[in-house]
Amino acid sequence: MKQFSLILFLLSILTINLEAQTVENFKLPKNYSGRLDEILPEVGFDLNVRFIFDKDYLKKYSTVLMTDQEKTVGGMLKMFRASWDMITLVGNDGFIYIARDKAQLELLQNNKEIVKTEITQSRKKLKPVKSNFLLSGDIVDIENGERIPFATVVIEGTTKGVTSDQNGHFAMEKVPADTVVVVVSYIGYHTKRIELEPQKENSSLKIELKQQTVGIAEVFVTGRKDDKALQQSTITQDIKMAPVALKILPNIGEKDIMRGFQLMPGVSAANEGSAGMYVRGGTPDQNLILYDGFTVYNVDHLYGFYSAFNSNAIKDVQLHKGGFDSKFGGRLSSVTEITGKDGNSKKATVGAEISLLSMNTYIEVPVGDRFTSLFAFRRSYQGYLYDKISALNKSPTTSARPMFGGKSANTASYFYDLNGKVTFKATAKDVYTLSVFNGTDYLDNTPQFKMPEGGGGPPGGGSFTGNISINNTDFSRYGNVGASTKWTRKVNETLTSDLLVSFSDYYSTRDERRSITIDQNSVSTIRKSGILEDNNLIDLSIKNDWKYVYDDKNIFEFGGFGTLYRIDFTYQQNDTLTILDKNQRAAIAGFYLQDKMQFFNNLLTLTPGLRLNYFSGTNKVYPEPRLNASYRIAPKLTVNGATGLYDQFANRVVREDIMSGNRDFWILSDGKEIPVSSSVHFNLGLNYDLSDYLFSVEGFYKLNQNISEYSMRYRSIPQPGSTVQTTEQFFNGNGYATGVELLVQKKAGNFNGWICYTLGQVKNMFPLQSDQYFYANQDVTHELKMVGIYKWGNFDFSASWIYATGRPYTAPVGGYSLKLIDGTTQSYYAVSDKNSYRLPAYHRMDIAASYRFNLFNQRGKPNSLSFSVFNLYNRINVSSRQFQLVDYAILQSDISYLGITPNVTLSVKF
Amino acid sequence: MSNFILISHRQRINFKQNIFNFTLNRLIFTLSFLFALYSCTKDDDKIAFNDIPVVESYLIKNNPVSLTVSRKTPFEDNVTLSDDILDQLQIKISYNNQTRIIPSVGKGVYRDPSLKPQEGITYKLEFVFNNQLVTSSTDVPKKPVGFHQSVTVLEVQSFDFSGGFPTGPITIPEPVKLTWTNNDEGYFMVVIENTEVSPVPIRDFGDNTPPGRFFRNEPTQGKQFEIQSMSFQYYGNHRLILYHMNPEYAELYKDNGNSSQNLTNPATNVKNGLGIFTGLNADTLTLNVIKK
Repeated sequence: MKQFSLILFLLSILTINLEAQTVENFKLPKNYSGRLDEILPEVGFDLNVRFIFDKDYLKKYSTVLMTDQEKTVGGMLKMFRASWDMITLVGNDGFIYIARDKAQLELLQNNKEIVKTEITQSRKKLKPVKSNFLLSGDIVDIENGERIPFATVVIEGTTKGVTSDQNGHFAMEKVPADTVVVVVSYIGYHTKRIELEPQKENSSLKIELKQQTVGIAEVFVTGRKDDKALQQSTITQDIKMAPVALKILPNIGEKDIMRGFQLMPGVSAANEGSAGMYVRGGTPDQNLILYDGFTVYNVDHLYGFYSAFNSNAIKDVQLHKGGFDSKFGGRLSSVTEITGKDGNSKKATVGAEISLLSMNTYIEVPVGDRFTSLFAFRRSYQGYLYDKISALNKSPTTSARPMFGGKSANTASYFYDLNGKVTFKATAKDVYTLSVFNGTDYLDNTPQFKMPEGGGGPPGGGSFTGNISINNTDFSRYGNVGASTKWTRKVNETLTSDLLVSFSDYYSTRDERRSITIDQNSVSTIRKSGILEDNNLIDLSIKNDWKYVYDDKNIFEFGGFGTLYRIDFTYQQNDTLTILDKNQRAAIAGFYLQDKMQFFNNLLTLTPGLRLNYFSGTNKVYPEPRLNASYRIAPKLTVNGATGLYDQFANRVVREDIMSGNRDFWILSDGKEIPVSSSVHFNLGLNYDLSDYLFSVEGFYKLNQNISEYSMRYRSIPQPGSTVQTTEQFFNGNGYATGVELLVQKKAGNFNGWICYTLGQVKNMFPLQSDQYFYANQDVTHELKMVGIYKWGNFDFSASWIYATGRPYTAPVGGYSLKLIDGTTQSYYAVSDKNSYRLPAYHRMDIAASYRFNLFNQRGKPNSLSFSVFNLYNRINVSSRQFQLVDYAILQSDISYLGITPNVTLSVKF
Repeated sequence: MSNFILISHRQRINFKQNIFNFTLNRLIFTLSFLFALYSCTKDDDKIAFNDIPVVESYLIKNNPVSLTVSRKTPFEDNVTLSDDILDQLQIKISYNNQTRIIPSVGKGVYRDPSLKPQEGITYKLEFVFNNQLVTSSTDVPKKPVGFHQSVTVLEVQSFDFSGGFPTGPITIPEPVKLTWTNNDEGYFMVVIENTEVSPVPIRDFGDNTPPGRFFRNEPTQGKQFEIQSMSFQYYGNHRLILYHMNPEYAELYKDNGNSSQNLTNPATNVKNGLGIFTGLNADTLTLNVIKK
């Protein structure tokens, strides 16, 4: 109970109204001059604060604000009060009010929404020159020229809006008039209002957005943070992320995109041992991960504690939790779409980070006007964090490795990842990119032995004139290397195409062999024993995606795709004996088409789609109809839904290995032993989005068919020279996953954050095992997550608390032994029904503090020093249980996750 | 400004907003408290213990039938066991339209010296335990054919680790290769047994417990097995027993895991029970391991 008192205490600190303002201390970054009603929005924009005032009243006053005189917001307000007898108030809601008198102040406080829209209405008096015209453009980062994907472009005061594509391009048909205000927003950036001017040519805009440096937290995660964005676009069940915002959240040594998503509803958080995501009751292999267009098959670093993605090289991440577009396929559950940074096109930059786990550097070099490049490299070092996590994942039992009195030495383990991207803007219409990714883990526990050279003669006498050396190898190497080249062609403002050729190679090798070399009289004898396991997957793909903005009611997306798979899996013992040798070759090809249609003044959006797959492994065609819909019931209330059929052809199989961590490998469906699995999604969501708060309820039901569970056990006897027998079996069956997700998010203010709760159930039935449905391994009934972020000057404080019902497991209920014909007695457990027990509940609290600062003559505070504590109250969370049968009694030991772990990260940028 | 007419409505919203802020803070408290309480009080659901018997019986050609019945040991207290007494069960084995009641000889063992299993006959087991009919059936597989060994005498050098690593020239002999006929993917296993009264160790075991006289390979559907010379622990005569077995017996050698992530029920061919009731057949060769 002590631990819980601590949580309650910490929560109470967080929930006290921490809105005590420090806005008044904000320094003015530059000089301003002009009418108050014009310069205040500018100040607000630069400092990310919001001023509320009566425009008609303030336009009578003009001033010059000099940084050396007024210096701070507080100083400026003091000057207003002194000069014009105004009333100013820094509200608890984070807004700064400026009024003539108390009565007006009260009116402003009650009407802050109306004040904002007033500006829009006044523009309506302008006379348009053009109407129903095509507006298009490209959205880029003002600082580094990065193209911004998936930004929202909306016409203010209307329901009309579009989203930019992966290359930052957008096209909007039938814009009503060239006097409208276009609002462009993107997570992690300041929202920009562009007032179209009737006299100007408005076609092909270049819109530059500015990254938020202060107050980034309030738009951290969620596709619905901006009420304007929400009103216009089709609301799908997606989560967007700005990797740049990750550093203010608690972490275990690395800011990690996958861990960030785990704080949101529908993505399970109680998996320290898997960087891959469990989305809505799906397993990590049911989540398609695309990195610049190529599929990534392994995302784990260091036993899954970290993901293989370096957040410094990533621009944008979209998680489609279900009911995803026809553009995506081949997975049952969800899609994670990662876009790498192009690199700074304006100046060369270098950045570096060091944490207690790894060193991380990146460099961005533009060459001329047309080339940009980015390279990022991260490597772990065997420090305190690495060793701590490694030790956690070693078996609690002693190693079976033979020890001949030699000393264990030369153990080296590390992970690294490398990201590189080169972008070439050949013409205004053609962009070529080459993106490369490599993430690898290398675990080496090899001890080295060398016997003394003969001659000296150990005690016991006898002459020995030879040389004996024993080499024990024990290493694992696994990872993923991938590359893609993409040609983006803007045929015209409304028709764009991406042609992508990609390659992805997943590899996993485990070498646990012992060789004895005996050199004597120039004759060398080598004897080898042990295990060599190797899995290699190669995916060669080609994709061609088209987007056509037909009119203001229809946006078509269509394309074709093809993938060649080559999967090899071998398991060898003692040089010669190959126990398993699988070689699979298959192809998947097909096309898709979808139309995003808008009805009833854009209130209703319907996106029907069809994806057609041909899979050579079964020689069959798999049609997948899809439908997405959203309807805006009221200005702030939207309902959305999706349904569709999804098939999966490649499966990841996890082979349990207690000694060295689980090994996973990929295999293809063959239509017989491993059928092609399929899933039907039904999603329904309701969102109520206020300017400061978001309330969301989403429900899902997935009907899964032909899912496989794999069981492969190796049994070796500790007898030198004995063979290993393998038995493998696939269990096939059906199942379902269902759940409800609730989210309450406070989006604005110095104190913000969210609470989310997921109620879920995942059950499967494998007729070969039992005719009863059982809880799937990944089933979590309740999951509650709370995240609080508080900004105080240049400091960001954050805390998160996670609670999740324990995972189901199978336990022995009794034991017995049998005398076997080889003279031995073997003990057996009789076990409970599958997964009928639950591990203890998982919960933990993490906290973090980070300080932003400038080095030398820098501006914008790009550097940071972060301190975080993982598992603050040192909760012993159980990952699994091990059982041992001793004298008819069962000994149970718990394998636990990471305890309290502090970490420091220093991040600098030049 | 014309918009300011909506005062009363807006004020109501403002009031609601304040109430909301207040409520949100309280909500966090309440929720966290409830969850804390929930996770402290909830116990694991108890799973009922099912008292079913464990059978152990190998029907070997021409060997008298012997069968042992035992109980599995529950891992939790407060379980209800049936009133059945292990030595007072009515064990029936039927074959070729005959049924035999197998007499008890105490300690859960039942033996019938006059019943000697033969090849090609199906034997059915039947008895009642805990008000359930426990059944199983098996037949005796064919005697192995073409069992052959590459050598009958194996010279192995003595190792002495007591003074460190061994000295002098070392030669490691070729493995003993055993082959047999297996055209229908039958299951086979080789058990190697030292038959000396007081066997001489090949290497010094030091403080370790001396290894047993038996070792074996894993059940295999192959038709050969190589015995590495390192596998032998003692000098002297060895019996090489090749068992031809039924799949249900081979299943017993599967690893059922010992972690909650991978635990499965052990294989059994006894309905409403656990353990094994299986026929076996064997052929035997001999091998002498001598000092080099």
